[in-house]
Amino acid sequence: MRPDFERLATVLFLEGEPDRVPFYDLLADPEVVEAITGEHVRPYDVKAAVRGDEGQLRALRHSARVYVKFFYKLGYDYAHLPIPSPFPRDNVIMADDTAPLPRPKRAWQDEHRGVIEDREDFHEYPWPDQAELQDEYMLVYNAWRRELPEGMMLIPLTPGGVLENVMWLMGTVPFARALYRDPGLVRMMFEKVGRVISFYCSISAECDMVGAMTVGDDMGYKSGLMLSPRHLRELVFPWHRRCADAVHRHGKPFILHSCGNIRLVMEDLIERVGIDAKHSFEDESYPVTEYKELYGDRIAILGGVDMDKLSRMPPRQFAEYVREIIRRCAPGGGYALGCGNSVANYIKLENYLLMLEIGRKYGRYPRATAPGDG
Amino acid sequence: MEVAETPELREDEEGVRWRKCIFTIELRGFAGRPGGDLPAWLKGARVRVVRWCCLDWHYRTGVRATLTREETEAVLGGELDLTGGGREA
Repeated sequence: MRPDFERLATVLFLEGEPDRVPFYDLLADPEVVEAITGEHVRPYDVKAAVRGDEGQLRALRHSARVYVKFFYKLGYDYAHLPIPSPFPRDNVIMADDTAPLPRPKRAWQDEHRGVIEDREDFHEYPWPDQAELQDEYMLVYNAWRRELPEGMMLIPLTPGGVLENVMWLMGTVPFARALYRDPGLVRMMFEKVGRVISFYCSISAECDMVGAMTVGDDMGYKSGLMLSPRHLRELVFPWHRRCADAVHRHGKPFILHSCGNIRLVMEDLIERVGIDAKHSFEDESYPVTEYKELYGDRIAILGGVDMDKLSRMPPRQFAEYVREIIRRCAPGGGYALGCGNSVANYIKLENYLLMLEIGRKYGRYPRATAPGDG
Repeated sequence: MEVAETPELREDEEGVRWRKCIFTIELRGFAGRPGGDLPAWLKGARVRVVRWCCLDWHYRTGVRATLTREETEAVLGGELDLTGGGREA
């Protein structure tokens, strides 16, 4: 089936039923991209590429070709556009990777240590310059744009969200402490990070081959919010609103990816922030079928095939599970099929491909015209 | 939403058999956001449309369904039976 971004746009704008349920995934890990395309993904240094380093430019263009090939080959109507992070940090913990398609080491957030824990750190931190960010973004965008087959568009994903980057830079524990001991510093952090993330939304939305924009900002745990609703409303949502407004100004839909049980603030996100679609679901705590029922008439619901089931469920049982999600989420439109979180290197490739195959066959909508009549 | 099956079948280019059905859809509102309100005379109105079905979930009743753009225009123009053959279609 040929790619057609209109299929996904119909879902994101809640404009009814396309020909079949489209696919939406936040991103795909390089190990999975390599396994599907049979090509090696070469990491690149975007700053060096902007400076004209030929080797890095070649690696960037190669990555663009391979990633777009991945999304095209599997039947997506868009390719995910990764925006490199402008926030360097070294507070990560490296561990062995036990995934079926492992990488040399897996990085984890160091929750106890930040690169910015006090005002002195804040002033010494190498905050990014907007002109440089724009040059880097445009270089990546143009590399991806050049590879797009007809019918496909790009959906950029911000390099982390507003809350995420503040918490990553400060470390979870120092951040929580600063919320009460130095709220001024926390506000300064949100101001710096929020400006960058909303700037990405703004420049992305201006680009002609960008069909929609995603901000990924995990705000919850399995059991609830990471931050009180009051803090989210005061510190985070005004920036999300700015991001959504920047995207809407160009008539494009704004997708929010947020892991965790965030039911308490869903009304804020729909009514005040103005999200068009929600991504990230987990059966044990915030299942996609429940969100579709609760919010499906106001926003699009994306993905939701549980990561644990993608990773461990026997294929026959998994196939029936995916069909049930389609049965419950597809009627009326406003739904795209995909992984609950991302095409991660720890899911079972067999299940992932099975999910897409079921989507292609079982995701067909009733037709208003007879087969053969157009 | 109600679904009435007809005996008419068609096969597509992949060999999938589609059955012609008549969907009776109760109007609740416009799809999309911001949708605006339905005219008062259309709220709760029942519209009959043709749909070709090939999967078990296509026959589910009591679920959401959306009219095509052309069907929406016709309904706003006052037509409620879009099956082309009146009640007997």
